[in-house]
Amino acid sequence: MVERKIKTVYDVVCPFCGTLCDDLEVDVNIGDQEVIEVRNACQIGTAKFYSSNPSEHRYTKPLIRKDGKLEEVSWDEAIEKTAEILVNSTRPLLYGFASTECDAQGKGVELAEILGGVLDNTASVCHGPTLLAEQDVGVPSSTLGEYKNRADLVIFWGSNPVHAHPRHLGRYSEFVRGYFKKDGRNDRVVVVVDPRNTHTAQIADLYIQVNPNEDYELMNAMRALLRGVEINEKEISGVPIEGIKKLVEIVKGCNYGVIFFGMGLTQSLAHHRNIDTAICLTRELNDHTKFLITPMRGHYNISGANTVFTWNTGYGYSIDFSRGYPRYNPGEYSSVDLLMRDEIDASFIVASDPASNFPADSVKNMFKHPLIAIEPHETPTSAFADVVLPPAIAGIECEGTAYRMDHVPLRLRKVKDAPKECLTDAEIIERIIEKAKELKGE
Amino acid sequence: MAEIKLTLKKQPDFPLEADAISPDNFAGKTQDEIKNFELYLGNKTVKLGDYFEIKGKSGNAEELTITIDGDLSNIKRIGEKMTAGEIIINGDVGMHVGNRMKGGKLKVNGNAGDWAGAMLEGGELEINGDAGHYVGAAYRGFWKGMEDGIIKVSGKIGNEAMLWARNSKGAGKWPTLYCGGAGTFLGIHNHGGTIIVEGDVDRCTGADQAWGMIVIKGKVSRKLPSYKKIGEVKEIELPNGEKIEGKFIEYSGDHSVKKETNGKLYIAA
Repeated sequence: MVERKIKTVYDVVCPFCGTLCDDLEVDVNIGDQEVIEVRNACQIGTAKFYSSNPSEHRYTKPLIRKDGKLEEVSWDEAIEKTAEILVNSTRPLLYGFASTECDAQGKGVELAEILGGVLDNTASVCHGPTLLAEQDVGVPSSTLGEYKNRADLVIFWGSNPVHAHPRHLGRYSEFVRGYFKKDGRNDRVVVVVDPRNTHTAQIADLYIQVNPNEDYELMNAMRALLRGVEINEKEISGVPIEGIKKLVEIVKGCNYGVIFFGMGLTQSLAHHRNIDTAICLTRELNDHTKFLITPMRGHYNISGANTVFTWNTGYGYSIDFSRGYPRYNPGEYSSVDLLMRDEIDASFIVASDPASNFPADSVKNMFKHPLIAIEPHETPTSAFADVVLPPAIAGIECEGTAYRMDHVPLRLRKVKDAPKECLTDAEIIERIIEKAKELKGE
Repeated sequence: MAEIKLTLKKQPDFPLEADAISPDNFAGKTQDEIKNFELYLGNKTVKLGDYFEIKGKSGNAEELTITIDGDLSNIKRIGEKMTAGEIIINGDVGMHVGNRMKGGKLKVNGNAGDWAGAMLEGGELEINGDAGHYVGAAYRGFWKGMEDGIIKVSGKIGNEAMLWARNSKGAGKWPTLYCGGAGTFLGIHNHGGTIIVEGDVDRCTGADQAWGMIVIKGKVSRKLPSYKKIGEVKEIELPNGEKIEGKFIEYSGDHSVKKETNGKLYIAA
């Protein structure tokens, strides 16, 4: 029997979802650098740590497609090929960045500026509408710790944390004992508004079933009722008017309320207008009590991507550098729209898998042109890529900074070494920047 | 009267940004100078002469008419910020046509893309066809959209037209939109815009309207619950003095913004 030497790394930040749990304990076999045990994480977070272990799905060497097959090459060759593709393109798209650390995101901005390309992150297909609404009407928000200690009313609107953010309920919003909410779950009223009777709805005190895509009308009615306006309709969006009046009384009557909303609002019809009216509702509730609103961000560092892009360019996503300066217009420069209209001639995908998530027609257009993927595992995107660059997984195999869904930055930890040849995302992009500058004669 | 005629020679491979095409830029320029105007194709710049054939002679911006022939659906920003003169486009045109224009006339004999006449500050934009989303709307993050001028679209327009439109009683500015039909969220966050729709509109018309007027001669797929019925009217007087006759039901709103509001919505009875 081979003797195993195990090290335990404490207070590890989980690089999976926007909840960014920071209390994980990870056991690593020092000899072969394998994760053998993850404590405190949810099932999804645990699986992410195990995914870093050697497997047939993990890329360990740079690959270039030659005669239709991906072949192992040296880093120099792969970087040169990547830089050539990008420098020779007229409208390159740089997309992804949500599941990596902030340093790599900053390098991505630099590369996009050098190339005169389009820079986008996964907010484009998840909480981008949230950013649009925040730009239109502002946002009253707070950190998750405040909610944990003070909130006595928690509304999950179009979000299902039991499945998407499993530890959110235990750490911040439902079961946790807060400083002023000492009895945990018993001190909070939990309301779920969703078309589906989700597992979150099943543990709520009040579940309101709204018709799909009709959240806007429901919130609009709530805002009118809140202002003392009589509504002459029996039912709105599938909810009886008595039910809406009861909900209005509940939200007015709490001491400290919060709305957590998810993709049920941002990606159903009306998109950013759902968030627009949800924020207005929250703002108006502050005439009666204390009320705040927070988006349930998906990828662990998508808030970071928005933040890093914003401090570099002024805009959170969908940024076009083609004229040398950043311009912003989701719908015009957002990835899916660009690909649907086939306006791209090269794609550079970092830490993301658009082929699994984008509409089929846009993916077909993406595959028509050269595609570069910085990706640790085989995904539908990397399987069709012309160049695959294998990175160390941020938050497991290298350090970095990530922003939680409430914009609190946390330092990610390194728990194990990456496979021998893997570089970090930031190192890879830095090398591409150097090569691109050289090719452009800068 | 001076006239310049442009004809598209070839389709661009990527959207071509042609904000150089406006009477203000062409005024007093020779054909060669116009040929050398820079247009933007992705991260490259190209010459106007590479894509357009140019005929005619230029003159003062006020007297200049630019006629453009061809399928311009992949060409953006024609007539951006124009202040005088006239542009006539015979064919479809891409995004941002006549955005932020302050004066003059722009006529499209075809369909227009998204953001047609976005943040219009004056002048007249006429589209004899359909138009995309965000007609006369504010750009992302702006709290003041269309401030003056007239947009006329004979066909249907997309979603969120006249977003954040804002009038000024003192300065006599009345942003006005006429269209044949509209998508969702027509006149959202309206602060004084006037909208007249000949046909039907989709849901959430006049959402968050603080003040302003929306007249719909067709049907609304779903009226917002926060609009209150006032009664029936037989004649509507628009802020610009124009009168519309017909049987309409008058609603006030959006009451989700204010309990008492001057916002009006008229729907054909």
